[in-house]
Amino acid sequence: MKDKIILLVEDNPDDVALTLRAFKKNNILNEVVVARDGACALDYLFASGEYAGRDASVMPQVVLLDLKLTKVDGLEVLRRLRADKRTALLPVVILTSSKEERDVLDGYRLGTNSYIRKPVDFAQFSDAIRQLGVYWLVLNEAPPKHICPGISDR
Amino acid sequence: MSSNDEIGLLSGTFNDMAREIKERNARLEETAAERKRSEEEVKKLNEELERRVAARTAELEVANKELEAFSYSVAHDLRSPLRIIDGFSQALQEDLKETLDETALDHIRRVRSASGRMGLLIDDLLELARITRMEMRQARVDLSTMGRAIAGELKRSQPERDAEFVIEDGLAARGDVRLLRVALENLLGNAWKFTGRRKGALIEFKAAGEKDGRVVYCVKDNGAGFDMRYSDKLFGAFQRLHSTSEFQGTGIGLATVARIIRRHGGAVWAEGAVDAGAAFFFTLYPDS
Repeated sequence: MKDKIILLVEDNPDDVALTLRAFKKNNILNEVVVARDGACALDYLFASGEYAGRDASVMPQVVLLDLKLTKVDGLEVLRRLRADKRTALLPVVILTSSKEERDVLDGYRLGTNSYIRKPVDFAQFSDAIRQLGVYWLVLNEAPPKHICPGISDR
Repeated sequence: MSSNDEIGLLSGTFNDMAREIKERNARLEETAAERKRSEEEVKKLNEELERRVAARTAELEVANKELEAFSYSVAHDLRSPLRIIDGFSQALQEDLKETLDETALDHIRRVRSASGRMGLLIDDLLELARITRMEMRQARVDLSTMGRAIAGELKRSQPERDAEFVIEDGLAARGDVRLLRVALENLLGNAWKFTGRRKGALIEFKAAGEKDGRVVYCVKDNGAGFDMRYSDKLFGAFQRLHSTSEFQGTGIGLATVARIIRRHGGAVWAEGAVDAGAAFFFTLYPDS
């Protein structure tokens, strides 16, 4: 389980700190790659820009995606990664402050696998992270790594 | 009479008639012209009215959009720092446990409690804003069935409580089913909450007469009640007549009920006495 990577897309450094703290408290020791804005997240996933040269066959087990990001916003990141064969099936969990119906609707329409509203209370947030970890890193079966080129064509 | 005189008389009469016909025609034309002028005036007034309605509608749409943007901002931008405050307060507590004395820990507890409360207030405000801008869909709403469903949910949430609901049959009104559900949830939920300390709690939902062509509905309880001297504060946002230690809540429930009922064109008011229960009244158009 330890070689499963979590891609955390979050622009607020305090939020990043709290999320990493929550992982640690719940004994989730997986590598967490932090992308501090939407463009950075896409660069990581497609091994471009500052991540050119990264082994693109290694995909995260799950993407934790905040919605309000600088440069490229969360929904746009989702749209782009669903539009690309390489990342179309990647499990994405939207993790955000907003519970606005419009965001939840847009998130699911654009193909998120899950939508979680971050609780204000840290104990509750930590518990949510724990459950996220158990579900997406242990219980959930990720899409197979080697996909035949024909199959993912929609 | 000579034939010339007769002809003269006839032609005189004909001339008179012709003159009269001419005058009548002239008057008819004037009346027609006047009518046409009135019609044009009415048309102009209608166009002016439509222009004003369109302008007002546009204004309203702008206001609604602004409210939506504001709510969105509140939802995201205000809750974010609150989470940080709570998270790092807990981090402080945990990481520095050895060095913090009871006073310090108490300070931290209060910070966390306040940020939690602020989170609840934000959520309630957002709900109120959502209800204010939601488009209403008119339909027949079965209030008796709705009331019984809500009562069932409340009883299941605390099955150990000694409380009874009496809901009148056949209560139906014309309105938006989602908004009326929120209103009834608030009223019955409040009655449930404020009878929390009453053994043999009784909550009634019934019709209570008519007012201005609308039916008066009543949610009555035998709980903690309130001081009638402050009854005008009841429906204001965040106004509370009981402390949080007595009964928890943010004080937005009744403001929400008032907003909903007013959107339906009805009125809300309440009667009560300290420790002797409360009755909340609202009016809606019936739909039987």
